[in-house]
Amino acid sequence: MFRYDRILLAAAGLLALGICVAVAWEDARPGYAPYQEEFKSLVEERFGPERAAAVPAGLQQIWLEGAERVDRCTSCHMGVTWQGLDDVPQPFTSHPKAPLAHHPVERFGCTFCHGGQGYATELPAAHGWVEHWEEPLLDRHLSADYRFRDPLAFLQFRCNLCHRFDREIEGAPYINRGKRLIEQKGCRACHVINGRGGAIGPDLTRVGEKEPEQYDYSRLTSLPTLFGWQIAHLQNPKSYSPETVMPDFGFNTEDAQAIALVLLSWRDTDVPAELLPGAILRDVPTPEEAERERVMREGEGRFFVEKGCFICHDVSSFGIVSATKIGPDLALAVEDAPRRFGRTLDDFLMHPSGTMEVVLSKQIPLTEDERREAFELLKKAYEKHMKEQGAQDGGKPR
Amino acid sequence: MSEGPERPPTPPSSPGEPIGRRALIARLGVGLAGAAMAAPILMSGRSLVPNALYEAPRKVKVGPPDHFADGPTFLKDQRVFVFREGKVFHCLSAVCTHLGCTVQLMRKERTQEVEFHCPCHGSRYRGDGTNYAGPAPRPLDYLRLELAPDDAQLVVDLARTEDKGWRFTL
Repeated sequence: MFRYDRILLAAAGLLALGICVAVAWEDARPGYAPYQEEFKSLVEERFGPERAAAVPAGLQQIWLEGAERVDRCTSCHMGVTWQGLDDVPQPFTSHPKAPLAHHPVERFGCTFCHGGQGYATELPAAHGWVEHWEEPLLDRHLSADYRFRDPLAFLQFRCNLCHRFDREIEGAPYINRGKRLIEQKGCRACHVINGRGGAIGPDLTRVGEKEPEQYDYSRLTSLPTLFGWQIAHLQNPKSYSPETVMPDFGFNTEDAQAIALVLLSWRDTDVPAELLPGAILRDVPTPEEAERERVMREGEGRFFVEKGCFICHDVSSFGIVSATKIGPDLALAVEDAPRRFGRTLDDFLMHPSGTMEVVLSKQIPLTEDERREAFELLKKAYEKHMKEQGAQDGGKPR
Repeated sequence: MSEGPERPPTPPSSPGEPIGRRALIARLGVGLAGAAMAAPILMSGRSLVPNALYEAPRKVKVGPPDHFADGPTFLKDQRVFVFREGKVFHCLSAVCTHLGCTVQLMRKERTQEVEFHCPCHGSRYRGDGTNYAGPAPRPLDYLRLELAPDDAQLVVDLARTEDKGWRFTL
């Protein structure tokens, strides 16, 4: 009798094996692999086999901890940080140097400025050309869709996500022009912008957050998008919202494009504070604290700070204050040493005993010259202390 | 000699001789079954090796080589000493092998020889990283240096230690 179940079993086994092999093949040949090979041969051609050998392989990424972002763009765009590939076509072109000077790739990644989907490693998804990825790559195609003269104009939109409070942004002429027009035309007469302005029109501070569904595109002849609506409305407000009292300012296309870029960039961002311009994320000392620190670092007692004596000892007459005060005030060392150790200070410094023997041999090893210097300084500190003491006692020398 | 009606038994195959149909199919079957079992095992094993980790890179660019002066330079962020002698570089970890404090660069009084002293428990190391006093159990680590292929900066590989005395020549 012929057993059909055996054939079925064999077929299922073969299918499972086939799937396994297919998955392994996919895993071994990810979408970026051909680009990496191409880049390697490009480097070999230009810079020789030695540097080609150093080209990294496998998934490349920039991990931005504070931003919880991972940008894997460099898996294909391998030339970003390379020098001398400016004339090579994408995806291998060197990044222009100027913007990277203030936005190093390791700290800012790619997608904060360019848009796109950092996690993705296949082309359409990575460039954000997929449904529900709402931050597409701001590339030439997008600028062309809206007939911008400058193919990189759309990119400037993302500059203003972080730099919205800067009047001028270097390298973002469209944004600068938009901001200038907004000031010149007095938009604040009717609109609140960043907390200031009139109450006739809607508050524009977060206008970029308005959902696409909240706009009426029925009268629009251009692209039915947020950006298309803004441009059309700026150029002819009454045609797109008939009840509006907003006047027609006679903006030309470039004016309207510039203002629309600024308007849509007024939205919430998930940029971590440490990447925002002008954010202060450190303890700023008060002027008194700064002065105290300066005296300790640069004053006549700086020796005791440099060597670390101040960790345990005050040197009060030199303005040196120890946080721990483990040891005695060294301003008095000249009279203190004989009382404590039965020896003069210079003798003690040269041949310390007890705790200081350990400290001066292990933690703060001083050369002979340095010990002499310490002694001279401590004599000075003592004299200064006595003088101050004398002045306090009404000028009588003790 | 008359030919029997029975098929002759499949001869055992030996190297160089063509094998019979049955043996071939049997072998193929065993081979396929083996592959079908091995493939998922290999794939499971592969899944244990991640393609990417969410952590700071261990290879850090520290600037072009000619920005370093001859002698030791301490890099605070990476806690390493980069030494330069002309075209020869090496890199010593500044992390004390005892409990991980940052060792301090010292110079011997007469010879001006470089030494490292740990401020915490008094471990001491010679200029080549050898521990000679205190509780440190082993010498300071030599870290791998490379030249970044893209912009020719010096790269410290904090994850790769090298043998004592390792040098990187430009």
